[in-house]
Amino acid sequence: MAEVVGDRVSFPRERHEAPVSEQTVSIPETRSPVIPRLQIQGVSKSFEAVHALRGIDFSIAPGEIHAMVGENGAGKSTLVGIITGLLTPNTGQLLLDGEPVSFSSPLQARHHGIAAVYQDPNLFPHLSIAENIFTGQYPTRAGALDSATMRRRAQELLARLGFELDVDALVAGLTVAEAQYVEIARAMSSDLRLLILDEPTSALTPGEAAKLYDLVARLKSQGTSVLWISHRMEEIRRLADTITVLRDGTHVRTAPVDELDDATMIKLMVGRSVALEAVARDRPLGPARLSVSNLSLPGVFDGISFNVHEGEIVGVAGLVGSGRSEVAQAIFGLSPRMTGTVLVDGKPVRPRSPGQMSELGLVYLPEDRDAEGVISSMTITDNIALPSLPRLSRFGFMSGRKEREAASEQQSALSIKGRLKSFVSELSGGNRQKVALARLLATGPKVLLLDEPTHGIDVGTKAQVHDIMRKLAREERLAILMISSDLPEVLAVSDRVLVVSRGRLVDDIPIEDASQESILAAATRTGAGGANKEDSK
Amino acid sequence: MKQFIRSYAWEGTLVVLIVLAAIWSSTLSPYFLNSVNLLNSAAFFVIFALMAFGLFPIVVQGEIDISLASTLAVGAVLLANLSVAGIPLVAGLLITLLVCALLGAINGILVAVAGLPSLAVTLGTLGAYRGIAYILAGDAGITGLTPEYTQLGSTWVGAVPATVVLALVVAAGFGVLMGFTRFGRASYAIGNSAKASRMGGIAVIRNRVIAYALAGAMSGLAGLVWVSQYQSARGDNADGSILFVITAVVLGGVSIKGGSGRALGVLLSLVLLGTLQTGMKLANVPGTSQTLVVGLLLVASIGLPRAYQLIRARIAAHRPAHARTAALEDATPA
Amino acid sequence: MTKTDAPPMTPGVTSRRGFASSGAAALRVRFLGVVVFLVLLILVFSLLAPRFFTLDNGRSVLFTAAILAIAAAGQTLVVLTGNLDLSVGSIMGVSAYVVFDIAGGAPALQPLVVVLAIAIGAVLGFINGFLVAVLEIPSIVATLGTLSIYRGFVSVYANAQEVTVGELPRFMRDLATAIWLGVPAYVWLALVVVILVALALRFLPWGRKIYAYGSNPKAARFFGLNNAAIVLGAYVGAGIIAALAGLLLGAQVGNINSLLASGIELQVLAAVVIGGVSIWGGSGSVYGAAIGAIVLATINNGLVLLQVQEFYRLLIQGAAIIAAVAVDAVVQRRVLGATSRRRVMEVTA
Repeated sequence: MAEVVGDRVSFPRERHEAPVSEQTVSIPETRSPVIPRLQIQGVSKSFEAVHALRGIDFSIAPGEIHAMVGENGAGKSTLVGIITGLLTPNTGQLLLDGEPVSFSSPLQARHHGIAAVYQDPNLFPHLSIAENIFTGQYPTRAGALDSATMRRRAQELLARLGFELDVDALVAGLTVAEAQYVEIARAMSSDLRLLILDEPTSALTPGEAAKLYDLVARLKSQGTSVLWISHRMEEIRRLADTITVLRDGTHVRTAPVDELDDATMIKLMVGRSVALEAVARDRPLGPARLSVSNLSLPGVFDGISFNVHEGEIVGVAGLVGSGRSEVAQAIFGLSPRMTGTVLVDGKPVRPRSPGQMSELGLVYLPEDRDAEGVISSMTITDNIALPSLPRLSRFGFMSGRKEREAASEQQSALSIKGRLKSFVSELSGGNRQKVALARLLATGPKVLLLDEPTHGIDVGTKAQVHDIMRKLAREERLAILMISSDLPEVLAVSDRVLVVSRGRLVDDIPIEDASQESILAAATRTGAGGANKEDSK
Repeated sequence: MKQFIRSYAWEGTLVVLIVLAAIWSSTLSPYFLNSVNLLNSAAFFVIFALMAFGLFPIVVQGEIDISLASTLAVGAVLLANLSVAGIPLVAGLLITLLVCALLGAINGILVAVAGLPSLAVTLGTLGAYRGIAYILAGDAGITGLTPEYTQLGSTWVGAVPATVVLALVVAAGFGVLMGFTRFGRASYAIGNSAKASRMGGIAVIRNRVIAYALAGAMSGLAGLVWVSQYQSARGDNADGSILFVITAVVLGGVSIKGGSGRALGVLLSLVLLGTLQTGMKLANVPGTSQTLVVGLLLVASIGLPRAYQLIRARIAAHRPAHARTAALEDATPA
Repeated sequence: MTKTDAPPMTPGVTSRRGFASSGAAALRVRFLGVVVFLVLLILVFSLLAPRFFTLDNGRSVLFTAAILAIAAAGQTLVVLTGNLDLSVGSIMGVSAYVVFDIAGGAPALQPLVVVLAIAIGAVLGFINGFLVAVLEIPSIVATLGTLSIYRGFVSVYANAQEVTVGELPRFMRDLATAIWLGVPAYVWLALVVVILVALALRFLPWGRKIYAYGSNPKAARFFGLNNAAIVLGAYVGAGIIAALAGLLLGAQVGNINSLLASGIELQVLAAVVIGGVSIWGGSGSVYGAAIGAIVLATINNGLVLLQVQEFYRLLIQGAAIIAAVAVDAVVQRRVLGATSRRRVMEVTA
């Protein structure tokens, strides 16, 4: 078990730039491994009741490419946030080249040579590439922007990185890959010690990705460490020296890439402390509540057909960005341009607005709970009553009593903690999600479209939500379509699994035949119709 | 619960300020507390009150309409024309309300359907509607209205001017509308989060257009009060009064960001502004100088609570590290 | 299907690139649109009113536009940050009245009127900026408040008096009527102010940060910019420029009362919006705002020559504003669509 770094060895704290002589004086002849570039010691972070990270301990060596893998919600993004100064850890500390550091902003981290590039770059669309690279650190002459120097240096940087971009072009005109290049170039404009790439290739074409691999290899040879977050096994195999696996906010293992085969890695990622058990269906399925055929939205999804029956839970798996949420949203009336046939209870419908679909008994739980699923600045009662206004009013006038009754009925049904007059912003993530669910259920729906119903909530509440879903399907005979990135959840709750990839329905697996491997294989299969979506954008 | 109390604290503060302003005014002139005088000055504010209540749901929905004073002018001029043409009041009023509602709905459609910023849209229609008012009024304006159209201004219900009664009825109406109807619920939800409201099946576009149309109709009604008080109508009627109307709404505790505020607050803020201005008039403070007090009131009412929060946060920042970490997290958007 | 391993080298090479760059193209076209609109206006008026396309009339249009263009340049700074300054007319009023009142009482201070105006504008602008940037009061409410406060202040200060022509410094009076190289001095001054502000926006870090913040306030935080300082700086700049505009207006009017320039804020805002400064912030230029001012002046002048009544001026102006915003909305959607069109892909397992 060769851990890459011996983090118990104590080193004198010295700066990155420390002269070599000093180093030889202070370190005795131990041939110990070099000082880690970044050492993460006992880092924990919780948001309200949810522990996002618990006692994370691992190190990244200088000049290594360190892959970090884990399921959705494993805590990768939180850890990146802490390393880059966007979040403050509750406990633990970071040592950068042996020096304890604590950043209060991404800018401070950048000054220490740590920069992160996300798959969705955060730039100034109205400004030129050169300016985006130098915003906040403009080269000046006599107090004025030296735009000649800025352009020249931007050009040099991009050239050194092997990107050929017109530095005067506006960022609004760039592709995702090009915008990433700008972010990387910006990161390079300081002395770069650690570059964090958060799923950088997920929105890139194979050609663009290959270019990025080359660059990362070059950075490595120059001594820069790279923390590479990815779900693509082949790219991890190709690039990484070391792999760290996170699961449920804990550190599972850090090992050289050769020591973990794919199967072991997946097992480490998905292995669970709380086992989710599939519950056998006890009653036969009813008729199809929702059936759609040949749904298409140009550039987003194409030729989607499926049925959801009364009493059935259909899981939808697929990578985020594959178009699975968009399909559900379009059925809910959010994309009136969609073509194809939608039948609710056998009657054809043209989904035009959420209000229309809600009245037909079809409701959608959005993935972005806090921005779309609930209105956090309003009370529990107001939230639950909102989609049911037609039912809770007479001649346009609200009945306060009916509203309270509806709310308390849902509160007890879903065991939502808190007073009905509490503001939703005061609740924990799990309770907020229950409110989001309650607001749908209060309308008395027949078809539920749930988008990531347990995303970012704690394990206990998650199990409760699963029970609720089963109960709704088995006892209330609702038809449920559940989109989830959490494969164990899909396997435990669904009766059938649809797999969406690049805007197409690529597989329909009965639960008996479904496994994480079969779903993953279908979801990540590249090729079939893949380029189609990219080009039509 | 704490927030519940805090939200009514606004109305409470307004009441205290009204009492203080009344005391101050009565020290200036013994005539202030004279009921006839009070009611007369109240009648003067009815025009602003009607526009303010019309604007109220729009602001609750997180939008703005600065064209309302121009809509009022169209309404006043149209009424005057209809009166001169011998159309009976009921028909004339109905036509006027419909036309003004339509003007409002145009704003609403540009904002809600086309997705344009409401301030800029209504800046445009502010000019355009004013232009329509001028066209309808001609250069000299319109006089010689039939008594039918002007009697509202001289009618008293018991000891109270009919226009004041009208304003109170409208206030109550908007209290009910925003507090107890589907439209009200939807408006607050839209103001808090239009996205989440849409996901919750609320017809955001329809509710926005309704709010704008309603505000237009209220301006038309204000036009009726205008012609009944001044017995004439001109293209430049009520020009520039929209800033005062917005001040009344915001001072009433209706957040310009949308999602909060009650009709009671708007009513109290109108009473406060009325009391202050009446007092200052008695003290012979010229009109433009009065705006100093109104502006200070507006900025202070919103700025002081915020300044208090900031100072508290600053003090908290000097506490031990643990507290500071918590404060930082609050400031970090999720 | 043109994708190869080699990434696109130059803009517009691949179809995907071509689509994405429509946001950038839209931004460039936006400015040209105003210019074309102005040219069309001039053409139409020239055809309809023979007296329109004359040197004299051109001078008159530009003179009318000069002060509005200066005020619009100041407003541009604030609108670029995604905010508004409704108090611009009141700042102009305070500046004109107070400066000329002081200078009228103390002739020794007469050469310093510009310095005094700058000081007053800076203070009033700072107050606006403080309310918006530090106290985080929505700019429309904050500057609506200061509109009343500043106007009330000058009213109290004036105490129903006027500053008369005789009290104005001689050189300011002369400036208002001076013609330099065949063009009114005010037009030259407006040109200088507009160019100076444009240069400052182009070359000072102060100006670049205004654009950056307005383009994407969230990214500005990531980039470590001090957002409050940027907004404050924009308001101080806008206050100073408004005060200078007030000074010129005062000198032109002669007898100054406490109502000078009241109500001008909507005109200024109209010039800025028509000139293509996006109400969402981050894009547009001072030149555009100045052209917006000329557009307004041209509409006024042309319609007067055509003996069209006031009514139609308001109608056309209103329509122009709405059309301008509609175009902005399309441009903004293009720009944002180009950079945030894809959804984030995440690990499934």
